[in-house]
Amino acid sequence: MSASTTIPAESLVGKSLTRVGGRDRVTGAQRYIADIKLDGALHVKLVTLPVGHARIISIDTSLALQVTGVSCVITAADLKQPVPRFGPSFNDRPVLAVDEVKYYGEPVAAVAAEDEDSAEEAARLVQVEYEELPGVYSVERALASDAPLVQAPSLRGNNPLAHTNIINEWKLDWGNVDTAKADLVLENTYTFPMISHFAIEPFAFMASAKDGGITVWSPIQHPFVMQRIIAHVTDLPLSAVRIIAPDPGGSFGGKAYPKFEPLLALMALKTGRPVRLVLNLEESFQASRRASNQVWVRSGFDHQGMLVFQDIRADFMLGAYVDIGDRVVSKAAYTAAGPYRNPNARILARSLFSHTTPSTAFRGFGVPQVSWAIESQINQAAEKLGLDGLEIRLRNVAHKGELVIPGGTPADGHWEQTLQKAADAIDWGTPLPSGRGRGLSMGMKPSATVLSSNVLARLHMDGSLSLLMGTSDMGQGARTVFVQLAASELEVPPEKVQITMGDTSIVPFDSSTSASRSTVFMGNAVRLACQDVMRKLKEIATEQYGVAQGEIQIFGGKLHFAGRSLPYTTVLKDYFGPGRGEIIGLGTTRARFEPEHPLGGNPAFWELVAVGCEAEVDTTTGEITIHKLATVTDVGKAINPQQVETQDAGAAIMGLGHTLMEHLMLDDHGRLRNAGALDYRIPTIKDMPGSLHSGLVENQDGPGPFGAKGAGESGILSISGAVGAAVSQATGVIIRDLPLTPERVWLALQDKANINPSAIHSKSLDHDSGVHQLADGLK
Amino acid sequence: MLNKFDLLVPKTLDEALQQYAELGSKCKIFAGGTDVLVSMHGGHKAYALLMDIKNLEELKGVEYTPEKGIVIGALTTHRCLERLPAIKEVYTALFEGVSQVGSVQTRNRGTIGGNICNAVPSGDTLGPLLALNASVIVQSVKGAREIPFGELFPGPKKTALKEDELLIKILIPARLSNSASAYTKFARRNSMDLALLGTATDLISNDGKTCDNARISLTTAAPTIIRARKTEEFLVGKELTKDVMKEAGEIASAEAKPRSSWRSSEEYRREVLKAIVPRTLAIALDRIQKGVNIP
Repeated sequence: MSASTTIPAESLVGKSLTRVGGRDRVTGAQRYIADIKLDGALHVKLVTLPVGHARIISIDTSLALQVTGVSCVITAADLKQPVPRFGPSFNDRPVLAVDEVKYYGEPVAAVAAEDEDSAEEAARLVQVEYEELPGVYSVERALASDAPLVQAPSLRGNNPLAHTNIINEWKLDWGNVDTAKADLVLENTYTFPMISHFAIEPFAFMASAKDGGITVWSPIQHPFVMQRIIAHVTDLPLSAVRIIAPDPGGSFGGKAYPKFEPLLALMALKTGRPVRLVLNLEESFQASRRASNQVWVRSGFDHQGMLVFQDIRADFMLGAYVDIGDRVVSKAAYTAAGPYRNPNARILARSLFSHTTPSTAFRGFGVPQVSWAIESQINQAAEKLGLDGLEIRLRNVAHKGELVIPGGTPADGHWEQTLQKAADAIDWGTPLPSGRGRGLSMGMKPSATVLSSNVLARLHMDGSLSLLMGTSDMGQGARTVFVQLAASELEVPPEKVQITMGDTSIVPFDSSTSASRSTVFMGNAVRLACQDVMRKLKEIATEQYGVAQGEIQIFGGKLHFAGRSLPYTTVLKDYFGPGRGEIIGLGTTRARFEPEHPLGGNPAFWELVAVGCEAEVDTTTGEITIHKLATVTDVGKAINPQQVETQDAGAAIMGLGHTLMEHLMLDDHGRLRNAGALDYRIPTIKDMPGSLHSGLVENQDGPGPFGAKGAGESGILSISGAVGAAVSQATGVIIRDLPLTPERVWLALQDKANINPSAIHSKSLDHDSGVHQLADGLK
Repeated sequence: MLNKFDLLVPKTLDEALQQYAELGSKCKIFAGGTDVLVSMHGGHKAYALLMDIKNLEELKGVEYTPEKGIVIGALTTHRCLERLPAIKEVYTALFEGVSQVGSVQTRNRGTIGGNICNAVPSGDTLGPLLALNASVIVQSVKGAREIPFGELFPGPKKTALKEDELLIKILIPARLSNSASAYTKFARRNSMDLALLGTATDLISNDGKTCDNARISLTTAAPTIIRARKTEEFLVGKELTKDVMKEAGEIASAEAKPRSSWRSSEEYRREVLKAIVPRTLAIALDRIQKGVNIP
């Protein structure tokens, strides 16, 4: 880890440098996988069935093979047996469906042809005889005693849950929920829908086998995870597997883990030709999603609003294969109780199989799904106890150094500052225009745990610098941050720093670009690599000029000793001879692996956000208008404030999407009803809140460069809780299912009107379905 | 995948009409391509023969005179219309329709004639044109004829055009004094969406209070766009108080024929009509009172 957190006056740290690569991105000049053509490539089209669950009886490829230009049609039977299975945590997903199709969109065959049209035409001619089977399309069905088992027990080893649809159970328990005495107990159930990542770049993959090795092109977030998995399915050594990963056109976790790359690799090996597969938008919808969930929660408070206990049971509906879904659930479970001092908590989070698209990483990684429930509970408790959303949180939020989870990472920031800033940003406490409501919420996400990152820094003979690293810049602006850090460390002009990413044959190992970890861990590695360069500069200067290392100082891009000031270029030229050498520095960071820890280790920092919202509801139609939305994030130090703010704003807008309009809908056959841009609505620029504010708290108290913490996800963590509270205050109804579509809000208003027509604007919310016990002293 | 198709690109209206007369329904006409080509790309349609008419200069241009009204060439794009002062200031309901089609990009491609001929009940220009008492001129090799907007849509996705007829232009009558129009599109988001429901009103009120005449259309409220005739009759002669407008919404809701689908229930659609019909009436009345939207 880097030592100094003092920022030199002339440093680029904290300056909003223009986005590196931004111009190419917005002008369309950037080349994505679909723009890259490989000579002689075959085009692949996947053959899928119009159902979520079916037994494959037979596959007839004869008609498809007659289409001009078709090279081959591959089914599971054409692959080595048993068919290779893969996954980031469990090897459960076959490269092509074996015997059964387990989700809508799972390929039963793949056609390879000389052009896209022939491949598509042939794919339609592959005759699949199948029998539709009853499917598991909901949490209730997954847990029903008569539900079909999604995954064969034989794949699950000695897992005691092998004969259920429960993948895993994550349990945390501290204090004693059963004996804790509360004055107010709220018991409710909340739901969060399936969400699509909807990256603007659809999935695209290519593979080419040459010289005993394989090269795979993918817009993957984690090229080295891909390398490991391709090596696994092809039985090749890591050194023979090259992953080329151009900057993705948006990912949000959707492109974090392998999808059809293993299939493409095997097809390239089998055909001896390069192969490429570009999914359309509808197919991309079928390839990745966020897990939906259902959270039952019982919360206890004393009469002053202090949290007494949280009793939480969250069931996450994963898909037909685990992907990274179980890790998502573990992290969601870990922080389910939120950034508060909870004396007693019992958390059970279950990951469940279903006959749906495998859910995967998605910005927020499970936290938005539980935060919706927990933050809503706290808002309702405030209402019942005569407090407000700010006061109840100020009373409960953990102060710096206090534990939020026993044995875990203590609160690592002044979170009450973050909360207060969010409240101030929406004028909390000032008179509210009629028909409007305000709400607050907080969100906390565990950052990266076990990991390592490496950077090679090459100081060239002309004084320019190349950095080689495994981070993916998928729009978050990683390149810019690393240019700033390296340029300020070595005091070279930022335009002389170039960054190479996305090729495992060139860049050194990096665990992943996930968990908002790159600025912290790769950022520290960049500084260390630059410091290594400076150390080596001193070494060669000692040898070259006969000066003691301790007498050499480096600043201003020069070495200073014995009254001389030599630029890097002079030192390199003197030492190596003109044009004969360069200096290579290495920076490595690591977070220790703790096998007994539920997350593999304590998080290096918390991503912490507070959200404020002011909303208005049209009670005739249920339409919600967001007048103000503010997110305030504790980022420690913003290396590039503009990027942090806009990234936070992007996350907040994404959060508005799942709060107000986004949800994947299934029909009775497990098919997506609304795959595509028209019926699956994400917010457009015209759906922005009246004002959107991204505030930062910068106390330089994080583990990253100059006290930075990660900030890639904070904005999305708890938008729903704040909006829900504002809607509730505006209307007097509480809705516990997302998204808050106009029709759903209207229906809730109808129910409310039917129960008590006069109560629409009353202060007390008696619409709770849950237990309601108030101590005598409160009445 | 776009299926293979033959493409005709006539350079003049005569040439287009000649070809269309020979080919008729075998040939699918398109202009901006924002409906026809999208449905083909999506695999929903596979036309074997297309005629691209977007180069026909005879179908372009807009002529407006306060006395005679406006004549809009069928190939005029939504974007062009939304930027014309005559549309924005005089035919306000149409402005509110064309400016809410898709996105700026689709409005730069899509044409008003295409929107009409696509004939879906959610078309954003259809309701305003019906309320504004528009008619269309259609032409074939045999000659031209005028069709009132109210007779243009015999059924869902159907127009009254014969197999050899092209839509040439749209006529909207001159505005009467003390009249104003408005269109409300109710959608789940504020751009890139179809109208879950919509309503357009063309209102005349000489004293700024009483309804002397109203033409009200409903969008996505039935298999085709429809006039809310009972609502119109109810309003004539009445002072447009809040209660009267509310009742108008209830009548419109009752005479509409929305259906339930997975996208939305009939019950909710009727409820939305109850809200947006009074809202739109109030906007039109406000425009009359403020003297905007009047030639």
